[in-house]
Amino acid sequence: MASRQLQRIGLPPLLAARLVERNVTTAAALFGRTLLDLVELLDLPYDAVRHILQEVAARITPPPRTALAMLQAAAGRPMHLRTSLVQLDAALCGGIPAGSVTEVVGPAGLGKTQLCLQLAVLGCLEREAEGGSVAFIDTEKKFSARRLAQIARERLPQQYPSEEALAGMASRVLVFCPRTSQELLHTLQTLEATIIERRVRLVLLDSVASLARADFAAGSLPERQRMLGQQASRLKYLAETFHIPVLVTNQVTTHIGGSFGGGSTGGGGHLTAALGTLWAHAVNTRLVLEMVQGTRFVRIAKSPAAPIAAFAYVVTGSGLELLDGLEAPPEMLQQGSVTHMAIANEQPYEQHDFEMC
Amino acid sequence: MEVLGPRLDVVGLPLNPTVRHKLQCAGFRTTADLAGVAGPVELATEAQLTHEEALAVLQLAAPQRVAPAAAAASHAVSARQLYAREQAARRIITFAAELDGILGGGVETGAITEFCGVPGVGKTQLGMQLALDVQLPATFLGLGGAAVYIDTEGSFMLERCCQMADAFLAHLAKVAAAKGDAAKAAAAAALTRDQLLASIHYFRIRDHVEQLAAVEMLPAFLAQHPSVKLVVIDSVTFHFRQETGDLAARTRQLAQMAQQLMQLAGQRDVAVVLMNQVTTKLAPSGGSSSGGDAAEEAASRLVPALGDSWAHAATSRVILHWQGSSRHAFIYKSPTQPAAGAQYRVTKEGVRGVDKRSGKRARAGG
Repeated sequence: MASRQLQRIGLPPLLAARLVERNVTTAAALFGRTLLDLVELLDLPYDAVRHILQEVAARITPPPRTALAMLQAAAGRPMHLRTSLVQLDAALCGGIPAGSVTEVVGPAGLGKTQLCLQLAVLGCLEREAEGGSVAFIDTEKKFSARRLAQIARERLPQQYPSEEALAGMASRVLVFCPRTSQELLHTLQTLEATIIERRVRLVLLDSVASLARADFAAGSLPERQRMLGQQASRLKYLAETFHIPVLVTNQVTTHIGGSFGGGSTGGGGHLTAALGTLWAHAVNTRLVLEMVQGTRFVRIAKSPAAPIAAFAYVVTGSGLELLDGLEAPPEMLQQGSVTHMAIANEQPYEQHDFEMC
Repeated sequence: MEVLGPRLDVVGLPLNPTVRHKLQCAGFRTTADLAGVAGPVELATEAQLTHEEALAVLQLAAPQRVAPAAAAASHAVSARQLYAREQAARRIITFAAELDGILGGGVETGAITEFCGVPGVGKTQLGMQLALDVQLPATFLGLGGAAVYIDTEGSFMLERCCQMADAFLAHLAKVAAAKGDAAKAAAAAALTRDQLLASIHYFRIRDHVEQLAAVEMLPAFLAQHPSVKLVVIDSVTFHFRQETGDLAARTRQLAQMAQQLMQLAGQRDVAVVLMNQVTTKLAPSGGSSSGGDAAEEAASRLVPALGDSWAHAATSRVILHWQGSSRHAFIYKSPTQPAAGAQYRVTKEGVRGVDKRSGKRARAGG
């Protein structure tokens, strides 16, 4: 509510006029100045300015709620979106949490986009009764409607027996293709209307990294981080306001050198999540896809609800499927910093364990 | 109001003869003359008295001259009084014994404590845990207060909070049973999860202006809710890092906010806990020659965000960090506690210490 006009706050008319005269028209303009600045600018005594600030502050601070009231309000709303990977859902206390941002990070070719497509299908199905839809923001031009249909057909043959059923599902997946970071931000800022109109119940962003890494050169790192911060802030806002799950994918980068507080890795470089610490602070849940000795694993690396856990999976025609009886190597389950955490990608090049169509 | 009481001759004052004589020699004849001097030191110089004598004369003849001084002295607080106050200051026990140890017995009320750390190290977990810990009943040597939780990142997880509240209650019941203490058992039984949750006042802040406004209105809110003993801001950083405005303005705003929080902590005797993120500081030599994330992350280290002037804001600053696969807290700055480190864990029950006994208890509680 930073842009809230001071005129609507109900200050005494004389005071309001004086503020407008001095070009202080929004709450942001008022709080952008220090107290002494305002005394000078408004030519009012210290106490009067203090009083105005308190008055305005009381109006624009969002009203508090107790945690109990929030719990009562949340009762009955779906708290998670199931991934249909049973053990993973159980570990996450039900699936991808609604109301917060979940990140899936991993090297190229491990199935990030596949997971997104699978979730799009599941999201459509779970909210079918209310006519809910899914927003799929594709920045890498990797969205494939054919693959979406294939996953739906193979994973849920009962629900989607016919072409019409598939078409009905596909018409509820809304695909956005922003070409620059600025466009992506704009898409996120205007998504609100679409969410209300089309009853969007899941937002997928594949991926947050590609545009940011392409649009900003090494020299413009502060601008890039600021842009990412705004996008993160917007994603969080959408997740919370509409109480829906938001899932973004992220790429990997090579990290060189040590880390804060004695990281677990010695010299040499290793793969880690891209976009740095500021972005890492913004995600609530982080899932890592990695390849260890030719087996793919999905690992819960950060979650407010779950301990660290990892599950082996394969990518099949119907999307991701968990493999039973394959224990994750113990070193993978060690807790540790997620800032520069190592992501394994021991991929034998000759291996092709899935084929598209 | 210049002279209190009737105008008296100096001779009529109950003074010893030497002093009286000296006053007369210096030309002070009535109390009105004495009322004209600026203070005891001036009188002492003029009448060649000692400072103590001069003060005694003024206290007799012109009390209004020395009254302000006496009042000022009574406004001042002796270190001894402060010591007693510090001893009496209650601390919020964190449930992680080692962490309490390095903090001097818990999170201090009447002061600002800042926790900095990388994502996932447990800042939000600690914030939620403290919001429950502050409600520890008095029979358990707790504060029995309420909490304000200012969430700027949207990371407060309700389900997790419920989980921790249940574990909190289970823990109290277990302690009461172990001690066989009826008062404790009654206090533990009287507390319900709904009560715990109802005592957490949650503000969701969406931009930096709202954050400044929230800090501005906190005194009024606390006046309405006097039971609040803890204010958590999680995190103080998030919105200020996205603001596009100039850096000087940001520094000023942050400084003002810190000042307000400091006042609030002192006046209301609440504990203010700030969570801060970390940022990557590039080494000055880190060349701008090569591009990409690899170069950006190279030759860099993680430091608390918001810069060096913000570093003065908090009374105590604690760094949370990973050492291999265990979590550690390190007192980076504190006026009273020596630099020390402690290990802690984030379990299903919440933030706990690593002490074997308590570890077992915590696990059994789940």
